[in-house]
Amino acid sequence: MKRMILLAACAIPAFAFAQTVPKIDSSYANWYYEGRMELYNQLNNKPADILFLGNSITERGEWHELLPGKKIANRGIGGDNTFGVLARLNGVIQQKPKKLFLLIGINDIGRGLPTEVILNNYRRILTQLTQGLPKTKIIVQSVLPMNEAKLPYAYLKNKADKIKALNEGIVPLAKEFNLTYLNLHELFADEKGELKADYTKDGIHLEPVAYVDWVNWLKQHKQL
Amino acid sequence: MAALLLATGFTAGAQAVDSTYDNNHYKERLALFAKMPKQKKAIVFLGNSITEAGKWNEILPGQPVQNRGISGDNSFGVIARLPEIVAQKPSKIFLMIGVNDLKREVPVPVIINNYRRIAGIIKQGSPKTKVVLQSVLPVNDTILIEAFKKVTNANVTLLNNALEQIARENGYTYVNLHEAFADEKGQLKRRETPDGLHLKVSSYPQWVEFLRSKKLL
Repeated sequence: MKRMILLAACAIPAFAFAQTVPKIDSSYANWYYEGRMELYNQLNNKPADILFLGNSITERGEWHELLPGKKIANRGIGGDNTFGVLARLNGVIQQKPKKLFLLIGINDIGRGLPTEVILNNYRRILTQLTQGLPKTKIIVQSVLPMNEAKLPYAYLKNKADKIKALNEGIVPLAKEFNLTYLNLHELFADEKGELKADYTKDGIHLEPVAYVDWVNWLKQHKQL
Repeated sequence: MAALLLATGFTAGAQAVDSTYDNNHYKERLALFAKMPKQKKAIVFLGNSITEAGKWNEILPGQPVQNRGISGDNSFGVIARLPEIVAQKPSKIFLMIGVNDLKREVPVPVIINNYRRIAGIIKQGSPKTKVVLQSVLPVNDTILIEAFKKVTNANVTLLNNALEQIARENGYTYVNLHEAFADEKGQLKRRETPDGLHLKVSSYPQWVEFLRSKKLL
């Protein structure tokens, strides 16, 4: 899967915030994103019990099979970032899920966006979601750690501090919006704070067993 | 993929048939399937990349859908993994397989023979399962990617004619997806395919709708 998104064709002018920093890459609408949106736009009228919103880590989860009988909407898009999520919230809101799990941000970190920019997007996302879905239980999940030794992508190396900073910024935001925050590092991080080696082949994505454990962990924490 | 050429008994003496299937992706998918909880009255979509790419679960929310597509899979690979699927006694199996066999020039009679073996395995292991043999999709040879140039719509038609007959012999349903996805020249509709062979992910709701219109879902 192409994780580094080509900028030229789909770059969108950075918003005003960007004037104080060198350059903000706010693009998201690549061919893969567009393809998924063509599908999702046909499905927005289907009611969902649980909606999973995020990037490839969400998309690759077999949530339907792991939660039989539930109406699941997997709204993960490989490569997506906070700008891409913002742009598709209308469809998500239209679907009126009873519960929504959010996990987004590693691709923002991967392209070197400043933490404040990502958090500002988080604020916009949570504002729109809480306003559009007042009855939905929204669960904000921490951005996962990575496993340095297994990462083949140079642009994702040495980002542990950025992940930590982002998650530390998400915690008070979730509190401000009165939402549940889940620290997934409790499940996914080893004693060094890295993504457990057994859970990943490439240091960032998860193996099937990780999703099984994730769902069980959410159940143990009474979130599912 | 390592091009192991293995002759099956069926064609011994004729020509070598590439019956390999057990590649990395196949193994990874099987490992994933093994982790999934068993479902009662499962609706199984069984096939290759065309099945795997379908977000069947999304289009049929809340239903016990299992996507058992494996990109690159062929009729030999389906036979090898069929016992596990059949053991669950699913309520329905929607099968589409064969284009990767054609890609590597497995003779149509060999593919047909594999379909008969598939039908036999399901009959024996789960006689109550409703089986839907879906026609192999046509290709669009005006834009077909190089890797699939060996696939011809003449062979697709040959195979599909046999599938219709196998369905009849076994009391299974045959659905002709060409009604939904072929243009007036019998080519895969240009607007539904990025590469002449696969469907766009946004084309699948239409597929499900077609199966519904035939009262199969």
